[in-house]
Amino acid sequence: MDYRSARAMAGALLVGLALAGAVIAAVAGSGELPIAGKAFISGAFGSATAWGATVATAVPVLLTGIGASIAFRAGIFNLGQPGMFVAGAVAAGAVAPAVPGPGWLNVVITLAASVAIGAAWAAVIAAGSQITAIDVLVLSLIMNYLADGLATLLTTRVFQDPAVLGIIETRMVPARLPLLAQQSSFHSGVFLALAACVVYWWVMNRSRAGHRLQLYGRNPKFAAASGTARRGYEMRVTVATGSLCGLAGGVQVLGVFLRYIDGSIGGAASYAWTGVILAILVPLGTLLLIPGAMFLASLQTGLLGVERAVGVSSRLSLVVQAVVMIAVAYGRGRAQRSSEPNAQPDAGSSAEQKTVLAGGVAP
Amino acid sequence: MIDILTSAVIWARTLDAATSLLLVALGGYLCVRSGVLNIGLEGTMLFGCFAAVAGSYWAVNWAGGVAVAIAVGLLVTALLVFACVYLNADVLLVGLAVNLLGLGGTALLLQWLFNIRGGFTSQQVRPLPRVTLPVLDAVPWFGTVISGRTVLTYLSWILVVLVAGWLAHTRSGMALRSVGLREEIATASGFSPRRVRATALFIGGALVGLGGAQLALGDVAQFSENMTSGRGFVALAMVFIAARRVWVLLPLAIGFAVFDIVGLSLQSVGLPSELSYVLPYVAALVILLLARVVSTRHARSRPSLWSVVSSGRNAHG
Repeated sequence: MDYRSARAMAGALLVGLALAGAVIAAVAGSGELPIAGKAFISGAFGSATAWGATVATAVPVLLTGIGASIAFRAGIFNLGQPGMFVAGAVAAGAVAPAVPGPGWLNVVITLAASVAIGAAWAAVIAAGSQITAIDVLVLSLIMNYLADGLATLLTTRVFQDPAVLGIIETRMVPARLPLLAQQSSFHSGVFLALAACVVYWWVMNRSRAGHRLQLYGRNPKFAAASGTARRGYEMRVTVATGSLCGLAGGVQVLGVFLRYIDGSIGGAASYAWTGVILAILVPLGTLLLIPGAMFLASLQTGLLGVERAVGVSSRLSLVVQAVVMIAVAYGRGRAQRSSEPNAQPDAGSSAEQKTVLAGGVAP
Repeated sequence: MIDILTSAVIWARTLDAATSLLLVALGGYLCVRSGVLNIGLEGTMLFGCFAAVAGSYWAVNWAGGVAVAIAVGLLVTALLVFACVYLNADVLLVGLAVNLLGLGGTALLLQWLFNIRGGFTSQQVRPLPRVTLPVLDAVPWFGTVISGRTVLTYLSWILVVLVAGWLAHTRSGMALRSVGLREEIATASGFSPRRVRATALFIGGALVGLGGAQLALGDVAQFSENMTSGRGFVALAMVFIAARRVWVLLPLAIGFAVFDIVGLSLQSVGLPSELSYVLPYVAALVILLLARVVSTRHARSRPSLWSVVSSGRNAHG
């Protein structure tokens, strides 16, 4: 990360923090600010349980973030990650209780099912966008709502736990991802996420596949001329994204909820959105994804602590993320403008605007 | 099933439900035609819903709600205009941020202003008035459908005509289209692309605010968290289906709304009520597919609307 984007990021965080403070002061009263500050720290890092919650939150954020990152790096602005995440989670909730066998085998089969269904959902998005010729951006945003709706429909009608009334959820999974610390949600899915991150880094920076991905992202026409067929390649990239997001859903079910609970995975406040934000904020292809995921996760768990202490809705984390994104978008826009000093004030802004559009997601 | 589709009440409710989609799509249409892919429609609309309920509550008057909704639509758009048109920030990033802000911001405002979580309604929140059309009201089935809709429903039909006329027949409308199509030509003809875009976005933002007001005050006057549930994105898809024919937005909005309303009545014919979570989005996808089939049949020589906003992005990646 160069000096300028680091400065933009730091500025963004300060603005976000100030705004969060102002909101807490407005809603709960300014006298509550010190209590809220303490609650934030203890909610995110104050105890083994808090650390466990933060790490467990960072796991799906990291996995979906890597997934989103791959797509963005290839220049495919697919925002269907929340839907793929839900698809993977429903698959886990449906498959795990139905599969016999020892615990470890059950976990492996369940995660494989999550990956497969996540990938299949992604393939539907990619194929749909190729057939309708509507950009994958608009299509994937609608598909997220469809995934949520289908998840509710299938869970209620097919996979509902008959012993539970009033809550839409699948049966309990027979085996879970082992916990690393008792009395917390610190589960071994964290190793999967870290492994995925290291593999991602290696592929991006050391392998031919990563080189091709970046080449494709920079210039699809050139990549096509050198033998990368557009349709097939975009399909493969999207399926890779879907596999990772599906895995994230499976890990979330097997590690945290132990069943698919309707509304806990998807929706507009889904962790997959946090993953998308991670992929946007962090320069792609670097291991900064890991601290980035921890930061975004601590924002969630810390603000949940604040909610418990002073009662300010933890939806505040969405506002802080939004502010950070706007500040980063502004910083990138400025960098873009200053790197094109000869652009005429008004006339050149078309080309400029569109470059920024791409630069924003693939710095 | 047939009963549902021939029922005048269902179609009447469909027209009301179509209005919010139509207004938001009309707003999004202006943004896209000026070359700005505004994916923040969803968040702006949610702010509009909240503002309409809050305004209606404070003023104890529907017009107050509508006015506040328009004002908030303009305010949110001001952020977008300032960041994207004047500071060259990425429209997609800021649009996404606006959506997050809509979800988080309305939840916090609800807590701050009304000290309540999840949703808000009160006797003081006045719904939009319904207008009885003088002669048409007496026509049997048709009267029930057409007459007695909300003020904004009739206004939205007029607005479609106005926007179509504006874009097609005025100098400023032509400026807007040319800025979206080929900025150099617009500049050469003496228009400032920034000013034209800002105007388009602001008018669009006001329309999206109106759409929010219709959603919040049109039926049961209430606000609930995330009540837009993807309507902003569906509206965006409608914009691309409509392409260069703005009037197509009206039948499209009605087409989408039918699935919304019919989905809610499915329980009465013994189908799973959860289908209502699925149907509107399936409908969106099917209509996208059909629109594609139709448009390939009438192969157009002119570039499609989508290529206007995405050409730069795809070429650059």
